[in-house]
Amino acid sequence: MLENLVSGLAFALSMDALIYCAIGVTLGTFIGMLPGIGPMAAIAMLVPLTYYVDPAVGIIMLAGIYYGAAYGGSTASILLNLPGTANTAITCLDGYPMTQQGRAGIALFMTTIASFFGSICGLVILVGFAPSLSTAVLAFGSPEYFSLVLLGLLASALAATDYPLRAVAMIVLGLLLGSVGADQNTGITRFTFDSPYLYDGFTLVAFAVGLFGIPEIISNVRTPPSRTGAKSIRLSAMLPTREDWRRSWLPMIRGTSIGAVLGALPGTGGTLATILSYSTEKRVSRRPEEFGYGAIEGVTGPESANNAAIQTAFIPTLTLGIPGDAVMALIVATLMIHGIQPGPLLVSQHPTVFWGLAASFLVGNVLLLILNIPLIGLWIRILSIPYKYLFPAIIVFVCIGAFSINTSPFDIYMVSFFGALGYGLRLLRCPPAPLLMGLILGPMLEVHLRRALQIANGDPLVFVERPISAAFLMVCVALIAAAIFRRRKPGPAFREAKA
Amino acid sequence: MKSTVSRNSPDEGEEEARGATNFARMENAILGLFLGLVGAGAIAEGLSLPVGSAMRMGPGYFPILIGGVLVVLGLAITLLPTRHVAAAWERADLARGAVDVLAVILAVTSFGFLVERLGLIASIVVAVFISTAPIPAMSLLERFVLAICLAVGSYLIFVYALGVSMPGFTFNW
Repeated sequence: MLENLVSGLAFALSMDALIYCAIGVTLGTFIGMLPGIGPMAAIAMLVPLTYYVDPAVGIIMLAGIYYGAAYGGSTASILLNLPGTANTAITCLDGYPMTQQGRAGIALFMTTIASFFGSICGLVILVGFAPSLSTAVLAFGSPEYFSLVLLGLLASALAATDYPLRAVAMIVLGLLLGSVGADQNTGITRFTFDSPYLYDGFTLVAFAVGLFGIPEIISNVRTPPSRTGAKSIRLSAMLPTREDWRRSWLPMIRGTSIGAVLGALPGTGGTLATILSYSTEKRVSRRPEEFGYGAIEGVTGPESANNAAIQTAFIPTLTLGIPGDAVMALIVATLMIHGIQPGPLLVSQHPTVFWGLAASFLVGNVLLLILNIPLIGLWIRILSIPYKYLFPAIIVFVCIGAFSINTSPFDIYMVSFFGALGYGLRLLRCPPAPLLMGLILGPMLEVHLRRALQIANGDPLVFVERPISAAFLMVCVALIAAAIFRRRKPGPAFREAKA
Repeated sequence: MKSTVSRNSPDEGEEEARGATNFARMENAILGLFLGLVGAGAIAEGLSLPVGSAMRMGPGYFPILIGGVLVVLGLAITLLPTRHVAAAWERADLARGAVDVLAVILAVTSFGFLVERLGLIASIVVAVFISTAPIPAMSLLERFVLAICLAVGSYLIFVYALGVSMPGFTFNW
């Protein structure tokens, strides 16, 4: 394993990988800071770029956007009180009050340290568990996979949503959209309206950019220029006191543990981990009254949790091929576009992808440390670019990206179509992430449903007779029951709009 | 469209609250109808294909199954008592929102229409002008400079550096 890690590190430090990793984390930080556009849309926009490089390098870049956005998102939360991503919403609660007290530099510094700590611990867990989990998962058959996909879909849709019924409806709609194109067994086309363009189904990038990017652009067209709480931050103002350190290290460890566990479970991910970490810190604190007024524990705990969760989220994504959230789903889909099937065989068949990616996390997090502490002043200046210059640029990149996939204008029209659909669904309070999850996992769900029933002579009881499959289904039932009983309470303040 | 975010403040008038609940019901009905129609369409398409049996599924089986679930969910969303309240969209917001939607969607569509007919540079200029149309505080010069910068920058990055095959200038109408 050690030699694998070394060869992975050698790959991650090769010129190409290093450059694309740097592009990924820088862009991620930038995107994460902009409240207008989330990592989801940014990754979708850059998937076409991966066609021009080695797939492992491409994935390194996409992953870099994802965890880079987590760092950038917390900067926006602390300085602007505007969460750049849903996962960093909770950082606003105590991060922004710290800015108001003139302690922005310390908040940013400790956030970066906490994020780094969480990421590295998450990475160690990823490297430690993923290969052995792969071996265990090899025993899974179609019934297990069907139930696991179902669980992944339900868990990701029902975690932290205000509208469980709508989220489930979006999964189902996504499953339907995923069945567009030639049937995998017979080659008979479905829902193609005799158009050759739809033979392979919807172009994933056009779909994802339309669904996530376009509605975000539309609702931010008139965003006024943002104003930061701190004009400039000198490095000397960033150094935390011994008291800050003393109060932060335990929350960081607790947050990391919470994040690492939740991240590895399919479907829960970072948002839930940050909420749980924050409430834990508030409960165990000797000074709960300080929370909401600039308690540093309320920043460092959730930030560690978020970043640990992002790293461990790669465990189910890479070893099972079951993504935990929409971003991971897009990474799975990108791997498949490049002919790499995420699943139990990934680690042994594509060691460069797995070990190179894992090692790139280390490289990327070190780069982020540099980007976020010495270079923070640069970012603060970038934050003040008016959106009216940014969004036409984003539109142009979206168009070029969509066009370059098949060099066909049809994909650009598809962006328009799904953009309009996505905006309409957003107005009707439907979360877009489950729709994408359904689209990507739909074909997998259908294949395993067909295969499982074929082997079992059409007897649906096969799903509950196999113990592992039955356990997954029981969790599904529990999730649905929990969602029904939660209906009575008023909705939580955290929505997945920016997911 | 900030007004579509649900409000729960207790000091809103009772009548307004009732209107809001009605509006939320209408939202549910629109969504339910949409889902129901899509589900029904899926069932119709599925029935036109070989359906097969549970043991040996044809291409029509899965769409019928999913379509059925979608119809049930559409009904549930329409008929179940609603929990959220929604403030009705204000007319000014609606008009402004519609302009923004049109500008962005048209900008994307125009790019798709023009890129093979006039080339990358012209398509970008048109897309920038259409997309910035809703912003009042932007001078013609500002828009023009932005458009030219983006056009030249994109050409250098995508065509020159990355080798995406698309023409800078062309004319095949």
